[in-house]
Amino acid sequence: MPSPGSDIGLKAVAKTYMTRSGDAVHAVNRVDLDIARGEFVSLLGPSGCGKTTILRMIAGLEPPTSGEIVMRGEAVWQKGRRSAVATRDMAMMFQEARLLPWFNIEENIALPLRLRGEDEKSRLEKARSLCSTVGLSGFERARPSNLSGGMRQRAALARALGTEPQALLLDEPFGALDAMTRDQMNIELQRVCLARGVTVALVTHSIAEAVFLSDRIVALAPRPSRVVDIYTVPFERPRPVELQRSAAFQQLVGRIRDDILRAAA
Amino acid sequence: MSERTDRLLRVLLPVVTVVAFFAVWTVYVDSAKVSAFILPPPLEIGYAFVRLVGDGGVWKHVLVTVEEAVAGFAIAVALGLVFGTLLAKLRLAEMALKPFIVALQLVPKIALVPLFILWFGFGIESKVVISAALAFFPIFANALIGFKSVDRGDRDLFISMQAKPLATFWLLDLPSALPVILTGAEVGIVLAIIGAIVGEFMGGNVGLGYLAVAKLQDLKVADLFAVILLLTLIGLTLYSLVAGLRRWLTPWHQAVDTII
Ligand SMILES: Nc1ncnc2c1ncn2[C@@H]1O[C@H](COP(=O)(O)OP(=O)(O)OP(=O)(O)O)[C@@H](O)[C@H]1O
Ligand SMILES: [Mg+2]
Repeated sequence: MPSPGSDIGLKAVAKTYMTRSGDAVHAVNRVDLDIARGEFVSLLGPSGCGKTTILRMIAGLEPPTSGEIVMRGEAVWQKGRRSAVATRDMAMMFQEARLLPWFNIEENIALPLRLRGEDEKSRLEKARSLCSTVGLSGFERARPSNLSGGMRQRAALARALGTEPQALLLDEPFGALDAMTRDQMNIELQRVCLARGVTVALVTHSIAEAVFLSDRIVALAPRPSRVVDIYTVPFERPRPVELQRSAAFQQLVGRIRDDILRAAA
Repeated sequence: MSERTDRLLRVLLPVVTVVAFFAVWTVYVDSAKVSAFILPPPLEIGYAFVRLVGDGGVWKHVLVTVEEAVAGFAIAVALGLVFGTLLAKLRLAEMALKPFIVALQLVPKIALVPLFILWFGFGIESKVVISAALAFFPIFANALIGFKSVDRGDRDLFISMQAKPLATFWLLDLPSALPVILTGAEVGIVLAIIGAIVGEFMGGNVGLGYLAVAKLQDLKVADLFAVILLLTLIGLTLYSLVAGLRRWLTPWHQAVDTII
């Protein structure tokens, strides 16, 4: 049973995909995880180990083969169907930006607000202020195809933040960003999440990014994924960029890297 | 090649082709002594065309043919969209109706024209029905394909944003499918015009199809060619309107323009 302060709870969650040719792909073996309210947890693991699958199961996009997923006491999957109540206050940011080409940037960002019935004036106002939050001022009316990959990801982040979700599921959100912009976005993400007390599950390939952002880091084994290690990051949030240069920070990054290399060997 | 000369040639070369075509035609009928009853020289057709459009009588024929084609096309769009949506959304409807509709498509519809005239008379109605029958399938088929090929990931995005089915339809399905549907409509409008003309060939006393037959019976071959030219221009206009509509409604879609 998840603890009382738990926001997202995974209990013995496993996922086996059946391919068209009838082969079984064991993507997730057995994951137990509790993410507390307002906690920032990163999932770290090699490519193809099932990180996206885990986020999709939490978001109610992929039913687990077995096990249970709970969001604030409400099961995400009920009799194989996604629960609208459990997933209501989640926002998922996909590995690809997934902006719709028939909307411009502000319309894309305003889309979830529109789907909640917010009127045009107020949702576009919010979208514009989100644009400036993620550094896209001046591109409000641009078409997604005219933006760089990194800019599109930032627009997708703005869209995910728009509804003020209680839980954010981020699938490698900053993979296409340069190191400088990535730092900026991480600072911004940290600020927004702390200000609103958002619970975050972040998938990343960057150990440094995971250490910088997270309260805890979950290291996953190669497919089928299972939790091999959970690291608690001792630094107080919010964290300044300079923290990344400190010895303690570097040491933790090094330790996690060594563990992962050892596990892979 | 520089971009300027490229653009220039793009305009110039087709003109050269057309001029060459008519030149060969003129030289051929002249040197081979082809009877003007079989193939009149282009210049004569040109005069006949000027006479035809200069004479106010032709416009009632134009109007009727355009009316039939546009009405038939509109019906085809409405039915194509309704059935395309229905079959894309309801698995049972697809299973029950798709084989039937595809089989209907295999019936040579031109062969049904006498039947439609029997049922709907010699007036405009039978031509509208023929026109709609011909234009329906490409619009229906493209609507079905368009709605069924909405990106899975985009669908997941909408699910994750808790979108209601109706909102998903308007904001995701329709814009996703629109480029494909309108490409079907481009084919549809051309078939609608053919339907109207074939209908007029068979019966009635008005419309450009009727006029073509009348000119043939009078052995006015140059006039017949002039009618064909006029029909071509009408076809081009209607097609351009639909193609323009596609480009205007779906500017994000980088399609290669269709060639009918
Ligand atoms: N729809 C699916 N059908 C069958 N197999 C799938 C499906 N989705 C994912 N898989 C398989 O499940 C495994 C985990 O995939 P997943 O996308 O979760 O990996 P990931 O950890 O997110 O990888 P990456 O870091 O490259 O994004 C992979 O081996 C993949 O082939
Ligand atoms: Mg992934």
